[in-house]
Amino acid sequence: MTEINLQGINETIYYDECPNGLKIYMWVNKKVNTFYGTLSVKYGSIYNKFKIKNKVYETPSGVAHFLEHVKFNEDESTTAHDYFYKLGSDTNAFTTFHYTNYQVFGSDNAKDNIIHLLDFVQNDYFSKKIINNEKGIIIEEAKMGEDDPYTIMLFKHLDNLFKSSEYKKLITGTIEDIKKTTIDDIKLVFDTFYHPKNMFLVVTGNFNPYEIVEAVKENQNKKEFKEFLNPERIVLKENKKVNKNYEEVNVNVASRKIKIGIKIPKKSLKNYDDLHIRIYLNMLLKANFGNTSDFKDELLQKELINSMSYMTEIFDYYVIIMFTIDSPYKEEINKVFQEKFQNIDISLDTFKRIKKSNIASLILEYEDVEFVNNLIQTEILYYGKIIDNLKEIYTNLEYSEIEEFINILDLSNTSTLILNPLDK
Amino acid sequence: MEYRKFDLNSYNIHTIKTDKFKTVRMEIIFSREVAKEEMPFFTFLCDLLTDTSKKYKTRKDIAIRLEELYKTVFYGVTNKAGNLFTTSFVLEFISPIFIEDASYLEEVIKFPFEFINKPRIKNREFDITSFNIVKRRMKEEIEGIKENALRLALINALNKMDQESPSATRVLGTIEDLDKITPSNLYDTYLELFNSNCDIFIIGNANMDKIVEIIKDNFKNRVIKLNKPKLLVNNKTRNKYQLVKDNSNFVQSTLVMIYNINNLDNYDKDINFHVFNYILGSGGITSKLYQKLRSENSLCYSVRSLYLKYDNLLVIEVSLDKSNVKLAEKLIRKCLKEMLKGEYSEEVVSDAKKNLIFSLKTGLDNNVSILNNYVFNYFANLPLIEERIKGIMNTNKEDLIRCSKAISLNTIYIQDAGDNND
Repeated sequence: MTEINLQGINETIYYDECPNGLKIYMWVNKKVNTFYGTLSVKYGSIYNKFKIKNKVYETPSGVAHFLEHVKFNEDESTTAHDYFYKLGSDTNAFTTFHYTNYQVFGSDNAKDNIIHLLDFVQNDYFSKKIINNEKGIIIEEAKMGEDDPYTIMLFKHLDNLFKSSEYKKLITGTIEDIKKTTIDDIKLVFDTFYHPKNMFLVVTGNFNPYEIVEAVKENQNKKEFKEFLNPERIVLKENKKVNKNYEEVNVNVASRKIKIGIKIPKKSLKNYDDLHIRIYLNMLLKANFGNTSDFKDELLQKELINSMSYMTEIFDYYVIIMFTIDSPYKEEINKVFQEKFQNIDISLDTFKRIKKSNIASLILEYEDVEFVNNLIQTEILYYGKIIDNLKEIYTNLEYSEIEEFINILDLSNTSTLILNPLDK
Repeated sequence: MEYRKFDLNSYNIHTIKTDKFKTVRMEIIFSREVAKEEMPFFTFLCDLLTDTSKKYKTRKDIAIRLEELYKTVFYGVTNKAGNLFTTSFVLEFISPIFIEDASYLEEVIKFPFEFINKPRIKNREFDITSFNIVKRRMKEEIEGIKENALRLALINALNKMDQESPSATRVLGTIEDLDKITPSNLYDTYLELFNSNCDIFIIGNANMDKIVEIIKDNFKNRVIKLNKPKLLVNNKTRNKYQLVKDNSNFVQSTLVMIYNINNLDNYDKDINFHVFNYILGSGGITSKLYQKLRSENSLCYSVRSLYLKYDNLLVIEVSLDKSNVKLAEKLIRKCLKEMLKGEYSEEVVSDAKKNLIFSLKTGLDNNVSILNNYVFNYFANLPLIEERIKGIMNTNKEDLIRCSKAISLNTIYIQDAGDNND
C-alpha cells in the first residue's frame, strides 16, 4: 500500500491496486462514527457510441442510467437494498455524463459493506422482467425532469452550445429511449464497461485501511473477469462555433432567466493542462463575476439583476462557461455581459486575496467523509490521479501567469438563451 | 463534547466544545411564536441586515471581508418549526487553532454584531438601494415556489387543511405581504427583533470563555429575557376527511395526504413515531410505501412520508402519472392499514431501528446536526442524540401500533397534471 501525503495540509490518502486492475483510494478520519464507500465505473451517459477494436456499437441514450437502476437487483427477488438495510447502512447511486457511482454509507461493519458494494455492482444478473418493471419507474423520473425548469434550462442551453455532442442529451434519455432499451443493450454495456480495470473504489471515514485492502483483494481474486476490451468512446465531431447564438423559449419559470454560455476550444489553450485551466478560470470568474467583483456589484446596485451564478466544465475538446442570470432586462444584460467578456481582468490585490482564500479552503476540504470521497472521485476522473501538491501549486502561482492566460482567452463564442415565464 | 450555558441576563450563550471539526459555527437565534403577518417582515429584515451595514455597505464589501477572514461564511435565515419562529444569523469560520493571526478570533466573532448592532439606517429608514435589492430577491423566491411541483402541492395542501393554522403559514409570505413592507416600517421590525428571546449557540474547537467575553463586549441585547415560545401546534381534526383538487400545468400529478397525530405523549413523539414513520415511508426504498407504489406497481420514482412533529402532522406525498392517482391513494391507505394491524415482521422493526440509529450516528459527525439538537433540546426538551439512540433501541411493535392508532386522515389534496399530459 502506498501513502500519498497531501503536502502542506497534513492529510494522507492510502492507495493500492488489485491484480485485476481495481484501484483503491482511502482517507481515514478516526474522529467520526461513519464510513462512506463508493465504487465508480468510468461509464456515463455520453458513451452511447463506442468502438471495440474496429467494431462500432451504438445504444439508446440513457442506458448508463438505466443500468444503474437495475444494477441493484441481485436476482429476481433480492435487491442490494435488502442486504444493506439489514446492516443498518444506506445505499444509493447516480449517473453523470462521465461516470456511474454506487455508494454505501454506514457506521458499522465497514468491511462487509464494502465487499457487498463490490459484489452487487459486479454481479451480472439481469432479466427481462426486471428491466420491464424498471421502465415505468424511470419514465416517471424522466417526467419529473420535464417538470423541473432548471433541468429543461440546462439541456436546452447545452443543445444550443453543441451541434452534435452527446452532452446535449438527457442523462435519463428521453421517454422513447427508455421504452426502447432492451436487456441486450444492458448486457452489452455491462460486459463492456463494468470491468475492474474501468472502476475505482474510494473509502473515507472511520475504518481500518489495511483490513479493507486485504478484504477487497481477497474478494477480487475469487472472481473471474473476462479480458478488458478497452472500449473506445467515439467522440462525435463538433463544430467550433456554438450551435445557436440566440434563442428565446417559454418554460415554467416564475421570472425571466437568462443563460449565457461560452464555448472555448481547448486547442486555443494548448499550453495549459486541465488543472491549470480550471484554476485560472475559477480565479478569473470569481474576480470578474463573483460576489467580490465590481461588475456584479454594479449590476445589483443598478437593479439590472436579481441574482447571478456561473459554472465551468470541460466537455471533450471544449471548455464551457455558463452564466445563469435572473433579470427582466434581456437586451441590456446580453449587451453588458458581451462587453465584459472583452474586458476580463484581475488586479494584483484581488489575485493575492483569492489565492490566500483558496489556500485557506484547502484546510477545510478534508473533514466531511462524503465531501472528501467526492473530492477524490473528481480528481481521479479529471486528472487520473490524486493531486498531492495543490497547496504548492496555489502558493507558486504568479500574477504574470494569469495575465498571460487572460491574453489568450477568447470569450467571444457565446450562446444566449432567454427563458420567459409561460404566462408572460 | 462539553456543553456549557452562560446566562447573560438578556440573552444566553450555549457553548459546545469539541475537537471533532475544523470549523467553528455560531448561530445567533432570535425566537418568538409564529405570527402570520410578522414573518415576512422578519424574513426581509434578516436578509437585509446581512446584506448591508454602516461599515459594509454592499454585498461586495461583505464578501471581500469574509474572504480576508479566511473564507468565513455569514448569512441570515428565518425558520419555522411548529409554532416557533426563529430569525438566525449564522457564522462559520476556520477554527483559530489553524490560524496564526492573534487578532483573528476577536475579528471574526465581532463580525455578525457589526450587522445586528449597526444596520444601514438613516432617519429611521433602511437604505433604499439595499432594500430594493432584497425586495427583488425575495419576490423571485416567492414566485419561484410555483416552479416546484412538490413544494407547491405541499404548501397548497396545508393551506386547504386550515389556512389559519401556523402550520400553513410561510416565513416568506406572499407577494401581497411583500408589498406591505417599506424601508420605514421595516425599521419598526428591527426594533421589534430585540423584543424576541435571544440565544447564541457555538460549536467547535476554540476558547469558549474568550468567545463569551468577546460577545459580551460586542452585544448588548436591550430586553430582559421573555418566556420560551410554545412549539406545538394542535391542528384541528375532521370527522370526515376533505378531498380537494387543483389544476396545474405540470407533467405529473401530485398527491398529498395529510394526517393529524392525536394524543401521543412526548416520548412517543420523540422516539417511537420516528420508527413508525421509517417503516411507513421515510426509510427510502425499503419502506412500505416505496415497496407498494414503486417496486410492486412502478407508479412513481419516489414517495415519502414526512413527520412534522411540532405540527402534529404526518404528510404523505407522491408525484406520478395522472391516471395512477386513485390507485396510489388506495395503496397508501392499504399501507397504513397494515401498519395499524402490525402486519410486518419483528425483523422489519429491528432493521428500521438499526437504520434510524445509523442516521442519528451520522448526525454526531455533523456540527449543524449537533448544534440543532442542542437548540431543540433547549426549546422543546428534545433528548440529545445519544439518548434518542438508547430510546430507539427499546421501541417495540406495541409502541408502533399505538402510533398508528394516533393518526387520522384530515385532507387529500390532488394537484392534477395539465390536460395535455394525459
